Amino acid sequence: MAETKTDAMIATQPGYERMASWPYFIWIVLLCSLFITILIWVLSMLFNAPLEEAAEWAKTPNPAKAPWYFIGLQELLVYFDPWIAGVLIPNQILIGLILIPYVDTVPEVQGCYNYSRRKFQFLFFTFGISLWFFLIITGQLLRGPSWEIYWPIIDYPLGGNEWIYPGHPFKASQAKLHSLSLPVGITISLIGFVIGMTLPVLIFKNYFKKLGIIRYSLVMVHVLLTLAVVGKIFLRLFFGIKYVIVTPWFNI
Amino acid sequence: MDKENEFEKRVSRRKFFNIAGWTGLCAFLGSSSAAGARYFYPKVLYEPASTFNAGKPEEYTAPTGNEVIVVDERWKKNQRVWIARNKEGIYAVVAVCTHLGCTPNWFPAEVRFKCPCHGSNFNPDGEVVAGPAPEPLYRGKIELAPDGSMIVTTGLLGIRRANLQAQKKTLGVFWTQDEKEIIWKPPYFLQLKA
Amino acid sequence: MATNLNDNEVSFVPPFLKKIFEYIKSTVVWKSIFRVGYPDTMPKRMAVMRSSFYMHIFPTKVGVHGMKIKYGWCMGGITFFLFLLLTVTGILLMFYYVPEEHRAYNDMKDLRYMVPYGVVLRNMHRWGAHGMVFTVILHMIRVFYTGSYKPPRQFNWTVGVLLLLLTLLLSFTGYLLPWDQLGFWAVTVGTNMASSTPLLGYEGPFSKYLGIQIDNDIRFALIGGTRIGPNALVRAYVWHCVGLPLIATALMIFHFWRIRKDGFSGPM
Repeated sequence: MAETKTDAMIATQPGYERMASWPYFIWIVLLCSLFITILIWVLSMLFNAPLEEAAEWAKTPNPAKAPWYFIGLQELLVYFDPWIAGVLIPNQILIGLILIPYVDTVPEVQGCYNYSRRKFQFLFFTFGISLWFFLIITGQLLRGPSWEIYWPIIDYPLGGNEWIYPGHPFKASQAKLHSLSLPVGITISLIGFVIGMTLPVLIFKNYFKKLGIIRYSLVMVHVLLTLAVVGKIFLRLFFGIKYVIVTPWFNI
Repeated sequence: MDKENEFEKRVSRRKFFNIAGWTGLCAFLGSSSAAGARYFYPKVLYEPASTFNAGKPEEYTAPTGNEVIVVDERWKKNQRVWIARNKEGIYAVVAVCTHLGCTPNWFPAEVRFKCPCHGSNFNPDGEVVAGPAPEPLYRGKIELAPDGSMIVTTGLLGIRRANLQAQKKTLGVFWTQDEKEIIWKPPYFLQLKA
Repeated sequence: MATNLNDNEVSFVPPFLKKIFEYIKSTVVWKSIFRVGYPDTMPKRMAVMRSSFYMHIFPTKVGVHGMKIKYGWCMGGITFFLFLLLTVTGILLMFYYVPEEHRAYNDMKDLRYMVPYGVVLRNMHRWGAHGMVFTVILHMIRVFYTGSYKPPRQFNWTVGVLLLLLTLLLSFTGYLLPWDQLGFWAVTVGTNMASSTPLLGYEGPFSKYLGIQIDNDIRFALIGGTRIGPNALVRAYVWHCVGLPLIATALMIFHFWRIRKDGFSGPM
């Protein structure tokens, strides 16, 4: 167990096997640099970077997609208002990421790949990353003009009829949407929050004891927020609920 | 004598200069940061004039027969505004989707403005009938010049939901009764005799 | 352990050339540049790492465990290398690009058709940028799965997350520069989302309590106007070429420093 900072350095452990940087490490650096340069060069010779027509503020291309790393956020805009999808959620993701090493301080499992001794961290992080990439894939590959869902395998008729498809299940813009009334929305959210915070305490008692209440709360708040995002997407797609909480100042 | 010594001990000359120095430094840093933030807000904008002469109302065809509205797109490219004429008069609709600023398109067959970015649908009044847009399409002001031509102002500064900036809450996707009083009267609507 | 490593070397250099090289290497000029001779003994190997400006970022000896590709995937190094590649290609592109709204698009077409190797340079910049975003995400995933963020390396992870944010911002500001429909509308939507910030954006909740209008909210500060126009292009250019790279460099210096201080993580 590491007692001091230097103890955490595997480099100070006795019997730690080392090699001279020159030439072995420099060799790896050189090979990697060459490989990446050649890869990028070959890609650049083969594929041209996109350049569409000159910018015109009176005509918006249909669809207007953000680059792939932001298209997850653009996809979230279907389900949330811009201030949530564009400001709140990304900030919360960043804060959650920054908090990771301050809530997960168990020194045992580091420096190696391990699943059995850190199941929760592995599962939740993988869940978060998968959710993010799922949104990217949906936005990049499944969304077409007017941000409607267009399945890649179906042959859609062109021109004029793109807006009207009777019986189409995931019509984002034509769906009849309604919102939950304020008391119902607040009650459901509160109940979900309370259950979410207290249930793991009862089931995973030793986990709660190890973390202490502050770190446990931080972790569970982020877990619940992530699950809430998934839940709202679910409600929107299958029940047509646009807003869960409606207040005069903002809607969620 | 003792009181003086005690006072000296509480606020000695050294301590006074210490506090004054740090206060000065913090004031300097604070005001520099504030100035730095203010630096990013230019006082004059060189954006194109948002007031233009749209010609006389007679140049815009009136709806005939079953038509409810005729939307003219001749100013969409340069000024980003539609001139819409219904049976009672003429008004200007600003072609900026209230969701995230894309430019909607007019579909006369479906009598709808539709935004390509996220699928917001607006009726000819500008109200949102489908999609994520939170507010109706903005209106431009129309004033009559002495020769009878319309001077249209689409300046996005201040023309926000027909002048109701002081409202402290979201007003929804349809025009409220108060707003309807405003948008169907001059300067947002020009009454024409058929 | 001073082993002479020359024993099994086979030299294909003809003798007269070898004499010339030996002479050059004995001159004062050469020795003033390369203070340590060819690293053929262990002390020389360590000395050449220690006394070189560019290479003393690396330790003189590295642990075998951390070097394995299947452990670390080289992602951190690849990300940094892509950053350098993007800097070089970016500087070259700057010779032919002017961030003015009526010139920018035509400069992009010039780079594609008129400038020798301009098309490859621009492509390298674009694909390198996408690659850097991808590798920085892979790097973060790798560091998480090996638990290399645990104490005492927590703050380094924080700096890493900030570097991820800066990479995304660099990509976002760069996206606007070609001034084509793709970048223009992507940045319009992105900055309009910024105007939905609570309190600070004029379309966000509670903004009216602070008197925030379209001409004094955070979106106005970002794009220097009420709409994406010439001001926005210049601001994106300055942030993309100067501001964000400087901040990223400062954070990267700290990031590498911490890695040297704390060493590679390994099983306890």
